[in-house]
Amino acid sequence: MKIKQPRILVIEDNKCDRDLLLHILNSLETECVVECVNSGRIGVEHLRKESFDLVILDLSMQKFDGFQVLKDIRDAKDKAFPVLLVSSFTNKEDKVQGLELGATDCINKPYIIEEVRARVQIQLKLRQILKDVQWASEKTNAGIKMLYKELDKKNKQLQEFDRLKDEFLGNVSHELRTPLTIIRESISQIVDGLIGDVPEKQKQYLSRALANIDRLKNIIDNLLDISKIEKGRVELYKEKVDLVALIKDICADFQTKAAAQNLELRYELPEDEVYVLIDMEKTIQVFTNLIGNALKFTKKGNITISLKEWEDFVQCEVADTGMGIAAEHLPQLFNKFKQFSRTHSPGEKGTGLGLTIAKSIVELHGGNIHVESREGKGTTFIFTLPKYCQRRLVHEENIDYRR
Amino acid sequence: MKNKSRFLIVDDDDGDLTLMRNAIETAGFDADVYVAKNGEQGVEMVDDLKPVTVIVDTNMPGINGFETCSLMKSRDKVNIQVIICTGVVDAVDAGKARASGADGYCVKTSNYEALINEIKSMF
Ligand SMILES: Nc1ncnc2c1ncn2[C@@H]1O[C@H](COP(=O)(O)OP(=O)(O)O)[C@@H](O)[C@H]1O
Ligand SMILES: [Mg+2]
Repeated sequence: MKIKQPRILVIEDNKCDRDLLLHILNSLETECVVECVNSGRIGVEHLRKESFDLVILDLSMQKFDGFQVLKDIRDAKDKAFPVLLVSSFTNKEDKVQGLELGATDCINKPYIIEEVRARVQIQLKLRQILKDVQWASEKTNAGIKMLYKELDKKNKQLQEFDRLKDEFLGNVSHELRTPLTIIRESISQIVDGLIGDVPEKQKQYLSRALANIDRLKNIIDNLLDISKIEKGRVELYKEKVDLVALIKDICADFQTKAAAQNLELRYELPEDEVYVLIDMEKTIQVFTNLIGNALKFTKKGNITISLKEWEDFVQCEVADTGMGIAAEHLPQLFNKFKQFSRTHSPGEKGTGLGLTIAKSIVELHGGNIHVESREGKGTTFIFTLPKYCQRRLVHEENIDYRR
Repeated sequence: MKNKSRFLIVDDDDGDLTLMRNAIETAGFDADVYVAKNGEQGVEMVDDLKPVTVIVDTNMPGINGFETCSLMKSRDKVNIQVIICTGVVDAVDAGKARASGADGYCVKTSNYEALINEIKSMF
């Protein structure tokens, strides 16, 4: 292996001075490679081609203007090398000018050997430190770049796994649905006495089975919905709907359940009809999920559904006085499978898909959804839907909702 | 008979040792790869093996990678290149690597691409 010795270039036209300098440089603590040239022009050429760790330049050469040489070598490729000026410095301003032109240090002639040695040694040390720092920073940067690349690769892999998982879930859900429907139908027929008389006790057990099949079906439906949404395979069948009437209907469906939990379910709606352009089934799903959650996570108080009209959209709110959501969970709330609170009734575990589905449906309508919540105080989900207006309808007819 | 060049890998982690060895062998270097499980053993093996390139992990029980590197460098003044290969990149560690006389410093990634690049840049 080549041990990297520092390389020094001496530009000096006086042979005596050159020999003395060479002698000093050869007796340095650090072993160096020294090259001597006797003209500024050759020196500059050397520097353009090779790199040196130190240049020692005689400022007062016979045929060359030392300052011009100094300027020229500062244009060299690697400008980081130090330049030591040597001269008798009879004119004191020369030192200042030299330093201003980029020289690193000056040494007076006639030479004091110890001084030359010390000053050169210092410059070589500094140069080495600079090189080491550069080396370390280059290696560090290269390493960080590598890690980024690796991270990126891992990320892509994860995304692929995620996609496979979703595809798998979608397929499995689909396959589960058909047999489940058949099981449900059969049991339902038995319970309804269509197959023959069923003792009360058996009916009771079968009804329980039916209720759980419905839960299972609900979960599978959610999984299928998510899978469709993610594949961009959701079509909206938009129609003109009076949202005031729709909300009243939806609330009516939940009244029994709310009453059973001793919760008040109420609405604050405009007097007149409010027409929106929505996919009714999917919008019902949004309300159902949000009201369902509100009932699930509220022990006492009330649930309020309200509706406000803006110029071309409406804003719906589902507010509860329940347990609320911790601030740290809010950013992930709409993510798939995220569940943060334990419900009071074990039968309502859910899947953590309700909010994801609700968000997707709202966004497919061109609206947005967000949440405001304080732990222990309650939660409000706020979302927007497009209003129905003649202009929009004409415009939207040309749009393919399948994305 | 032409002598194959010799690589020595010093790492306390068996998994890393195997993976690095595989990476070097599949990268097509015409070399025999030897391994040591700690710094002390590595330093001894340098004396016997006279390897061309030594790859040293940073964190090992006993003497660490930097100490291992400077010991190797002080023992064997002729023909040895040391690359410090680490799981965490850090400018301070890179500086320590340099100070201990290392010729290379690189990060361990799953396919050891950085290490292979570093070795290639040395020949
Ligand atoms: N009204 C609410 N009050 C408190 N927490 C809620 C409310 N709605 C949703 N959450 C929290 O968000 C989580 C995700 O809700 P959701 O996607 O509907 O899934 P699921 O209802 O199946 O758990 C819930 O598990 C719960 O932690
Ligand atoms: Mg829910």
